[in-house]
Amino acid sequence: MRNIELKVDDDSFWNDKEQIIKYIQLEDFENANTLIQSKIKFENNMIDKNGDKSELVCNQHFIFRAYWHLFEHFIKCWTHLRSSPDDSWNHLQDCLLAIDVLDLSVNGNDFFDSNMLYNYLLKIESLFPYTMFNSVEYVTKKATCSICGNNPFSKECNHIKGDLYYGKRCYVTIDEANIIGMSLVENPANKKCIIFVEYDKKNVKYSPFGLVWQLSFLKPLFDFTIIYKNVSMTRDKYLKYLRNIEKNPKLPPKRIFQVEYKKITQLNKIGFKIQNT
Amino acid sequence: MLNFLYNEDSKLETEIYKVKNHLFFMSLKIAEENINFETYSEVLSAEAKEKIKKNEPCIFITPNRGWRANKNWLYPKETADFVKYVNQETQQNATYLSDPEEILSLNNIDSYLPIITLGIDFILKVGIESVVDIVIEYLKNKYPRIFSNSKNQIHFKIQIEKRDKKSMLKLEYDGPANDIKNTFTGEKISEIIDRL
Ligand SMILES: [Zn+2]
Repeated sequence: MRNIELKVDDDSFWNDKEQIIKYIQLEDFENANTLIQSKIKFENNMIDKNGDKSELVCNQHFIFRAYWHLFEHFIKCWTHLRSSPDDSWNHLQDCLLAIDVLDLSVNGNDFFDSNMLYNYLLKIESLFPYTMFNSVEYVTKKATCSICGNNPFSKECNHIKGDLYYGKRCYVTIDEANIIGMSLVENPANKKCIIFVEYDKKNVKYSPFGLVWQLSFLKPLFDFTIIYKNVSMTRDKYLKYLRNIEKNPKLPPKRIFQVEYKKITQLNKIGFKIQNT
Repeated sequence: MLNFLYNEDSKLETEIYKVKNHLFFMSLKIAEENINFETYSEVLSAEAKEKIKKNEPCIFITPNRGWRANKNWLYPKETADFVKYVNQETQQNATYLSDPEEILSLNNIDSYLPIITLGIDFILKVGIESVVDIVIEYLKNKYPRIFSNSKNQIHFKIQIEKRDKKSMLKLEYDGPANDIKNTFTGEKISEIIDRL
């Protein structure tokens, strides 16, 4: 079921949403998490309660639950930035996957401010050093639909992958496949298939995760700007810079970045707005 | 030389953008292919055979052969969802030309739609525009963000039976989602119909 109309009957949704964002912005992750977990529990109950009665209600609560999961992963992403940015990357990808679910709703973009969140997360993503990813090519011989258990290509299965059915998202399990090849690609199907970057966890600042490390000193869920600087150098200076990279291959090789604090966000009924101060 | 790399970086990027943009305009290739429904006779499903015989206006979902060293007939992984979408959400009917046995998954985020084969009667009754619209609507529905992101490329082929039923005209699109509509203009479609 696509294009799901979302409806909120009581104010607790809006109040809790505001409260969670506020907690995160104040870096009170413990309280934020407690509230998030209680919301996830609530949505799970609602899905179970309506399991065989109303498909629409189940799907609505599935989408709401994805929204709370988004903040859950965001907290994990943010708290790992400084100490283990590679873990942080996985949680960032989970945030983006949660937005995929929010996109299923009719008013998705306005309802959750998911466009704003999406662009914010992409900006964080761009600070990571991952530019090439692993990717496999394979031929599937046998697959199963998660909803009906049939072959998704058979007449018996009419479920579309990624759609919601009674509060469950349809996915396909591959039971039998032949791998044809492995490639390195810029735009992979799954961005969690990274090429591992070795770095000194005690010295993240001077690792390829230096920009991510810088980001961890900003306030979460506040907008920021990335200034790309094209630095012009004399030939000698540039050669010196290259020699430096040779000595310390962990330096970012091509460009010099600078992250600048800017703008403050303000909570409102719908979500958070970006305002200049 | 090295200075050029640094100072002219942004200029270079603009040039690359221009070249890419130029390629986008060339994202549709039209060519005549020496194939017809007979070509698929060895793999034709019973249902497809019946529909071809009765001249039913139908979107035939067609397998591809010869991916890398693979000699088998393969469907891209997007196929099942596309077929269900056409049959559930549109007025048209999509039928597998051969029973799907092997599914190919490629290694990037691009969307590879199955080859669409259309009989000449379908074109005369329904038109190419409707098929292109179905493709666009399907993508909008499934990947709402794809239209604002030119990194994700769309790949699809439409094969149209020529009036003499001896060969087919192959339209091959490789480009961003938001360019499909601009590529299949009224003028382009009349040009295609003239060539049938
Ligand atoms: Zn199914």
